[in-house]
Amino acid sequence: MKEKEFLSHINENTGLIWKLLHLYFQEEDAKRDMFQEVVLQCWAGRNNFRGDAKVSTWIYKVALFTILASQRKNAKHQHAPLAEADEKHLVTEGEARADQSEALYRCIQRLKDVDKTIITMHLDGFSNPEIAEFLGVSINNLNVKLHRVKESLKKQLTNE
Amino acid sequence: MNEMDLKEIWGKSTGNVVEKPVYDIKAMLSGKSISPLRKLKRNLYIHMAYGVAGIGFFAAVMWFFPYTAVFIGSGIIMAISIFFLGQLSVMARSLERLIKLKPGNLLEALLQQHTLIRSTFRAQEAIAIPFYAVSILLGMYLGFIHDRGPADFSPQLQIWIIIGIVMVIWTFLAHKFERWMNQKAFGVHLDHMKEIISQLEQEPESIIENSL
Repeated sequence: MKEKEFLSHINENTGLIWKLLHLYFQEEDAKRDMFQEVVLQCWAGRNNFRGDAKVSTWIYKVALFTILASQRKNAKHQHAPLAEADEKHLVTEGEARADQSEALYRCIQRLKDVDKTIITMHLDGFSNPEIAEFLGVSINNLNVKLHRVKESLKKQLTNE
Repeated sequence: MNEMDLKEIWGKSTGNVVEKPVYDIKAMLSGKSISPLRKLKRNLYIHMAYGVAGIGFFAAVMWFFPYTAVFIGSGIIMAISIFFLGQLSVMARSLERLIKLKPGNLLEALLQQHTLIRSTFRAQEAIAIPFYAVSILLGMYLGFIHDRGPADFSPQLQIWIIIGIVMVIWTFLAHKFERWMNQKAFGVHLDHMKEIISQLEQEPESIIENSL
């Protein structure tokens, strides 16, 4: 893949990468640094892309991989875990008035990293075998995890 | 709320929740990677540079202080340094392979990365222990002969005991300091990886029969 073509693909998919970064990082600096890291990892691995999937799918997977295997400045979750959200009723009145899509986004942000990855890939149209293969878990394991996350999210959103 | 509802809501969220940034992507291609593996590789090369500088320094010490004890002490340190350099270059090659390798899946990649980082630090820390011990011994000897001359170096038992205690304390503190530095540099990352690995390896208590 030539540089011009590569830049064009990244430009087309900036929104996609940014959407993922927004789920895992809160601070703007962290998001910007990780965006650059994703671009560098895509650039380094551009020859691994064989064209058997869409470019956006390849970039999506590289971005998720880079985010999850990256070095964090803070060990604690950037967003409060869902269990805490349940306890503290973090879906506040203000949030309840907000649009459902924003509420869903916030609920996903509060999930643990692996749960967040599973539900995001699922909602973005990846099949269960694809997600299981990407993560390195069994399909049964993935099905149970996905079921639990979806139930939890639905409960959160219905409570609003 | 059903399956389609979530997907429908998510579809809407991608457009209006996140504002797309404007970046100079081309400039980013010449940026410095913050990948932990590349950082670890840089860290190894810095250690190797220190190793080479250390060999040069102790060669100079042998040149300026041509005494038997200095030859023995410096010789031991130089031998340790050469062994240390060899080990570091093996680790650097392993890291290079891991950076270039296209990992099969996330769990496999995280396990490889976690094991390599931990084993690199353990090896660095272990190899450094005799280096600290001999360095302090040699340093004290040089201080002694600088003060009194090599001919007078016949310390009493009490002096040997003091040298031994200082050597043990110094080695212990230097070892702890190195572990603390490694923990400071990569501890958060190792904990983060361990947490994701444990989330991935966690088997569900019950398996739901019908695929979702």
